[in-house]
Amino acid sequence: MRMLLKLIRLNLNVNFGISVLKYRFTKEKKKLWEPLLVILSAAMGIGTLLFFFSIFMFGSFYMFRQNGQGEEIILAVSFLGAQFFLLFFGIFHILSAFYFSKDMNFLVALPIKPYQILGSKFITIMVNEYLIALPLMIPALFIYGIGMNAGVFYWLKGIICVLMVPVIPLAISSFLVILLMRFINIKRSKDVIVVVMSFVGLFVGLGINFYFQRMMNGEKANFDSIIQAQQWLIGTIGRRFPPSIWATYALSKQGLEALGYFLLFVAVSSLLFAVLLWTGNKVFYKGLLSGEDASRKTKALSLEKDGDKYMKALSPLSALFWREWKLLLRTPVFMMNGLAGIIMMPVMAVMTAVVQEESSIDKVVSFAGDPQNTVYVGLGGLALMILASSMNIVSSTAVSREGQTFWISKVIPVSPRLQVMAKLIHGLVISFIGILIIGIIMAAVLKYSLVKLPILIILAIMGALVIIILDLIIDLIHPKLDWTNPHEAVKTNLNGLFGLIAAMLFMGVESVIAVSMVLMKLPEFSIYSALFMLDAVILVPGFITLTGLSARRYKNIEM
Amino acid sequence: MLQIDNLSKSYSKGNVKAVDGLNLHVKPGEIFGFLGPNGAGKTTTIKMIVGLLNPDSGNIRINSFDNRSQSLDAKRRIGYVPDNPDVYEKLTGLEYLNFMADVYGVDKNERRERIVYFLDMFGLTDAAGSIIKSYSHGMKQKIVLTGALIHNPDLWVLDEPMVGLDPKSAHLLKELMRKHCDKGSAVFFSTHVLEVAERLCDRIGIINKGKLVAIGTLDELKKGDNADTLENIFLELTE
Repeated sequence: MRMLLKLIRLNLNVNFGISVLKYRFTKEKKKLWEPLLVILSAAMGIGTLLFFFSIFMFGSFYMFRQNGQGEEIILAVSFLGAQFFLLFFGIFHILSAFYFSKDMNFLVALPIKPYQILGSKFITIMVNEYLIALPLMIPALFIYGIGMNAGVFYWLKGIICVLMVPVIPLAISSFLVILLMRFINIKRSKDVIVVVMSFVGLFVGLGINFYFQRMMNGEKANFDSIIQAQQWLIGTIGRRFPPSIWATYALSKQGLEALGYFLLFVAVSSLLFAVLLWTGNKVFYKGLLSGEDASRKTKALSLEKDGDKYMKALSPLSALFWREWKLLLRTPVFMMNGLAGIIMMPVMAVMTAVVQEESSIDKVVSFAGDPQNTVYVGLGGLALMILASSMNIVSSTAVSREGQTFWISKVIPVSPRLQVMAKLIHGLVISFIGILIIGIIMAAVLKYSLVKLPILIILAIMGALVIIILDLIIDLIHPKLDWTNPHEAVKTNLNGLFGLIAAMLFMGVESVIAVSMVLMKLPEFSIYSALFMLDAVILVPGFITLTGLSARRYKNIEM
Repeated sequence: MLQIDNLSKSYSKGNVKAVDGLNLHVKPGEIFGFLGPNGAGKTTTIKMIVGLLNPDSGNIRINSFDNRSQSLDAKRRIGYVPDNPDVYEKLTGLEYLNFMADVYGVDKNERRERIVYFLDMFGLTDAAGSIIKSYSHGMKQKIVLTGALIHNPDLWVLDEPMVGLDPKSAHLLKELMRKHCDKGSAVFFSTHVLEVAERLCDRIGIINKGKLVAIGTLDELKKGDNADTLENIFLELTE
């Protein structure tokens, strides 16, 4: 038990970078603003979401209260939402923490039992998940507790239930992952698995969205009120995944019945955790150690014979461009964050179109076909093109993604200007894919004029260039190079968020100009000309700033 | 070949002097061993030579090119191997070597000749098509070494190059260093293995707490210190 606690402490320390923060605060003292900014941004983001979520929950509670029954539904929705979220995302986190984290090689060699490693990793993930699960549950707990004038026992049981909510879904995810790893050696093709699972995740998300849209469209009559919708949700999903209902009844029922549900929830959670540790002790290492060396497969090349095929000389710019491309495509988390947005947007558009009744699609097509509406269709299409091209973190993490290999960029005899140019071209190519997909949809579905389409594409490319330059400037100013896991380079990199904000601001300015000109009833081409001028006016100084900054930053960033 | 004048660098807002007024000159044809205890300033010095760190003061010239004002010219003349082989793990060994050859402007024939030569020498030919992530530490070290030497640089700057190499590869590297210097080029390398320094180096510099405490040939060091082995000299000077 002592070892387990020690491991939990160690894992939490590494996970939240507590020692790193301590070092920064006490020794380095130069990057104090960084963690503060992260905390502030996170607090603002979570705070805003929490605010709107709480209002929604309060509204629901108030409605049920007026009806005089069913107030506990807000608790059930919160627990159910949190548990489903954890069940789904837990699989990724468990897989990554149990099998793909770098410290495993070192932990396995220590005289520690498998269940201790497993248990400490599990608890660490659980603490991590609280960051998402608690904001989902706390508002309902408070609104219900205060609204119903609940007593001390409610609060005690509430805190325990909320803290234990992640146990069951994460334990189920763990069982699935451990079983999977025991029988299939997926470690050999880890990258493929991660990409496949990420896409499956995205499509499941979209599928659920699609399913609900269809259901809402098809069964409007059954859902006259939000009350019925929520009751349906609890009835159907709750039956298949009862722990959330137990937790709800533990808090909403009275006397012994409540205690019974509470004990049931706590007992099942604890039992599952215990069984997980027991199973882990038996089979965890078998899955973990299988195929450790499997990836060291070599593909022998015949360099003497096929040297020309394998050794083509490229210009430094091309070499740098292809380096960016290969590293993006071959690192799953980079690829997902780089390309998923571009792929998902058209997919979502098509899915939404499929869900709509046929007549409404016809309406859109005939609206687009009306010559009076071409300006709206053109500007809408342009907005979508720029949006599709900016839905990625390719340029806003272009320098950060180099991480500890940035030393290579510093020692090679290629000017920073050229190196950043390769990143700019790389970002532009990816943006261009997004622009092109929207362009094709416009031409094929909306029958948009093929004469005007190139104008839109040129304007979209210019817009994308502005965003890429802004993104690169953001990442150059403060790249996150100190990461050990590629996830950190994109997921916990604030530059991605700042890049999106910059893109939104730019699109906001363009939209204001375009909408004002439309309202003034100015000719379509004058609007495009104005946008062209705006882009050009931003691009020239933007480019000069970027090249100047790249020279300075490449020199000043120390490795 | 390498001229360092009054080089200084400090960390933690000037509280820790990593390198303090360092002066040294590595001549063409010379293997220069840079020794010192952990944290003495060896890697900091090397990183300043190759441009990874900016000095607080002082100058570094490589083949008479200032490594800051004429950085690209200076970089073209250096082949650098860091102490930790962090490379693009998702590229294959061959892709990495081609990338390095491209950015250093090595033409097709020369690159082919050198890649085949180095891969064969280090026993990496069969692994060249696999991604670097699948390599062992020693294999990574060898691929970085090959990438650093692919443009046949005048000055090799190697930070602990023997770490992780098997005895055969270490032996081959030492031979390569000698051959390279015999052609009039130079090698500047750091090491903790005193026997290697003793046998291989034309001159040795010992750094302690950021200051160069001794420099010269092994004989010169022995005379100056009245000690019989490099180990004793090292221990006396760095106590």
